Amino acid sequence: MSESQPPRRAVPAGLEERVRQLLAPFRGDRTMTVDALKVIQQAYGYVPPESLRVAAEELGVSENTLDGILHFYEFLFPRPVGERVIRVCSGTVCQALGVPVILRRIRERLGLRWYETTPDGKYTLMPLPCYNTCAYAPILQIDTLTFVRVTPEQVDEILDGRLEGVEGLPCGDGKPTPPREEVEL
Amino acid sequence: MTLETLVAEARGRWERKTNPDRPRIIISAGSCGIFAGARKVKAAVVDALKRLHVDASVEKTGCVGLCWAEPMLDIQLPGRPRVAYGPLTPAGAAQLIEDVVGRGNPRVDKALYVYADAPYEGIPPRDQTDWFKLQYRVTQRNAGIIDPEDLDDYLANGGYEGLARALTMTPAEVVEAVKKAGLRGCGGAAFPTGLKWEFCLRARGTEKYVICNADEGNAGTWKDRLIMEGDPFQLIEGITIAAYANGASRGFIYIRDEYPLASSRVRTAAEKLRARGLLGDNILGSNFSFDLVIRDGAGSYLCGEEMGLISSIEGDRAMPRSRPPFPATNGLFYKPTVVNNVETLANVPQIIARGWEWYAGLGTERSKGVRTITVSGAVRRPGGFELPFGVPLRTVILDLAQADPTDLKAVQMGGPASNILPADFVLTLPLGLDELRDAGTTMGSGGFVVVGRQSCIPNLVLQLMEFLRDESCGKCFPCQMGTRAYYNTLLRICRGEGRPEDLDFMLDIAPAIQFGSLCGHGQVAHVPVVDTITHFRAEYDVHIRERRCPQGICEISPVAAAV
Ligand SMILES: Cc1cc2nc3c(=O)[nH]c(=O)nc-3n(C[C@H](O)[C@H](O)[C@H](O)COP(=O)(O)O)c2cc1C
Ligand code: FES
Repeated sequence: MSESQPPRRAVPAGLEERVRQLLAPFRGDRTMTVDALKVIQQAYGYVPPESLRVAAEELGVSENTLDGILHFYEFLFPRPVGERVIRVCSGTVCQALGVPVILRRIRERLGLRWYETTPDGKYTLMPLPCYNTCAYAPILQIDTLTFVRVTPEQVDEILDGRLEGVEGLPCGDGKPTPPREEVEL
Repeated sequence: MTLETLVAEARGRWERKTNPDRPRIIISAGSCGIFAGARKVKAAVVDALKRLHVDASVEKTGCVGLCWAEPMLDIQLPGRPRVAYGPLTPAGAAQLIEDVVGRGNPRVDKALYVYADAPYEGIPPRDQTDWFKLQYRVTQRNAGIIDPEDLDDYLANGGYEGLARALTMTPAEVVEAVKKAGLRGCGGAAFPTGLKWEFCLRARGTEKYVICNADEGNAGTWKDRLIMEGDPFQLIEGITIAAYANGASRGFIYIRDEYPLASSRVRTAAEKLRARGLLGDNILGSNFSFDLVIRDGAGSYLCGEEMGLISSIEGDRAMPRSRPPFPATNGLFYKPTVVNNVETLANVPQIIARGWEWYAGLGTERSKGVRTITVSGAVRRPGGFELPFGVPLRTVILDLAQADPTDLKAVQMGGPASNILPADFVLTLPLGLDELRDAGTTMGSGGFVVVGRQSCIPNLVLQLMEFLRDESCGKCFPCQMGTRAYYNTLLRICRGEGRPEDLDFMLDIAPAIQFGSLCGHGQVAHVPVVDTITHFRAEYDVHIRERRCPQGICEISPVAAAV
């Protein structure tokens, strides 16, 4: 996440009640910490640190445990992310087939390195370990739009919205599994 | 209901489905297919059918493993065999429907193969094509053929025969059969599955668990995805048999968060099985009860390590515990637990249904059975193949995946922290567990990444090390500090600021990381570094001494370049 300029953020209003409501299905179940944080993230786009105390009470774990979990898992965001999240596959196949040059192009355009957000809060750049659809490497995703066999030259077209992507199969957005209709053909 | 009635009904439906009175269009709908554009192809097909005023059934199936040929679809006309076509564009698919369905022209030019014993209009039968003739499909036998969300399709194709047979045996007999079959773990370590089950069966305690490891985190490996997206029922049947054999009444399947489609299909499959009494209380009228909990990950490579996986299911960070005690005695919630990979468990139903003798007869003397491997990278036809052990890797890489023999540099098999060996050497080896071990390598999870000549090896290792460093959980310091030291040194080299002593330094600290680390992550983190320094030293030397990257991939810092 951006070390330089995290987007400004106010404590969301009515946070405590909302979180209690959201976590009702997990009350007292300390094995469901990750799923609980995902539900919070779905509501707020990230996991507000202020929610951890309430969540910890609901789940019956310590706030520290939750904080550790929040920072451990890659797809749980402890800070707000940009309006659009750019995911670039950092797996071996994509790396071998051109990701370093793609990243250089993204850096030239947006000034982003891994986990950084642009100062205007528009884009966040994140790696994804491997989509395991390596036959279509290199893979780049913006929110739920996927681009396959991306060439460095296409980076500009993608960012300008001139290249058609493939809808669906959101990966690594840290939300609970989408309903069947959203992923099925 | 008994299995016989269920199967009889399912067979009837399958017969009607495969001998249709109207055209069938079956769209290949795995993640690969969807990424390649299957949604648009489907829309184009539906449109074309509407234009032709043809009443057809549009179905879906998992991926057969020809990832390069996506988007694919199969067409079956009434009274004709099922023909596969690909790769298609949406416009091409519309044209294909007009030609095949509208005009009865079989479009041999776009056809890949036919599901029949003899050629049809010159289109070869599937099992005689180059991509299938060497394969022996066990876990993948239904993938690409059945609808992964239709339980009847599975039941009509031998589904639940294994479980029904297992329920007539004692748990110890099931374990013995798996042992004699010679099945070994497909998750990386190749530990004999029957032996693992025996430890768990013998462990004291009445509360036991089975866990299916579906965290397939190794880049370049997607065999588990093919199973979950193509035939999830078979996996759940395997998990159920494992539970019966180990005396577990509850099981977990932990699916990585990058697999929304696999997760959705496994969930759907579990619901359908519950509705028919094949999962839940008193399965098939026996006194064996078992239920499955499906959990999704949140992006952590260490969730694939069995102890990390257990921690994660318990609701903690995926931090490995020290072993012993092993999960077989002290696993999930410190109860006896079996952790197995998806493919391992998916092999079990057939082993029980067809007998261990059959499975033990496949493969080689020392490596028994079959294994799904996925090949990607600098190849023309990336894909997944289920092959009996013993097939030469030269055939796999050059003939099946069609790598260009003049554009081969290295091959990495089985994950980010596995051997990176010169391609010439790898091409001399056979597919096999012990055979590869004898050659000083392992096949790990079976993901073969072919690295072409245009890749820069130090840069590739740098990227691998960045991943290994980021995923180090931080519990033990040799792994945490070692991966960091490697990353920093490699970064320096790739920026043209390397020092002559850097390579020796990296070799020197390898044993400390290897022997000092707590889990398999750190214990192998040095492998790609040591291998590439051994086999590709010249590339490092150019970066260090001449301060340039021959492939033009590394960003040499301006300061270094000026020196
Ligand atoms: C860092 C690390 C990552 C692993 N990732 C996976 C994985 O993604 N999938 C898997 O099945 N096994 C993985 N394993 C191996 C498991 O620890 C374990 O050996 C395996 O699940 C056992 O199943 P098997 O005997 O059926 O292979 C990993 C091991 C390590 C050390
Ligand atoms: S390496 Fe990018 S999809 Fe596997």
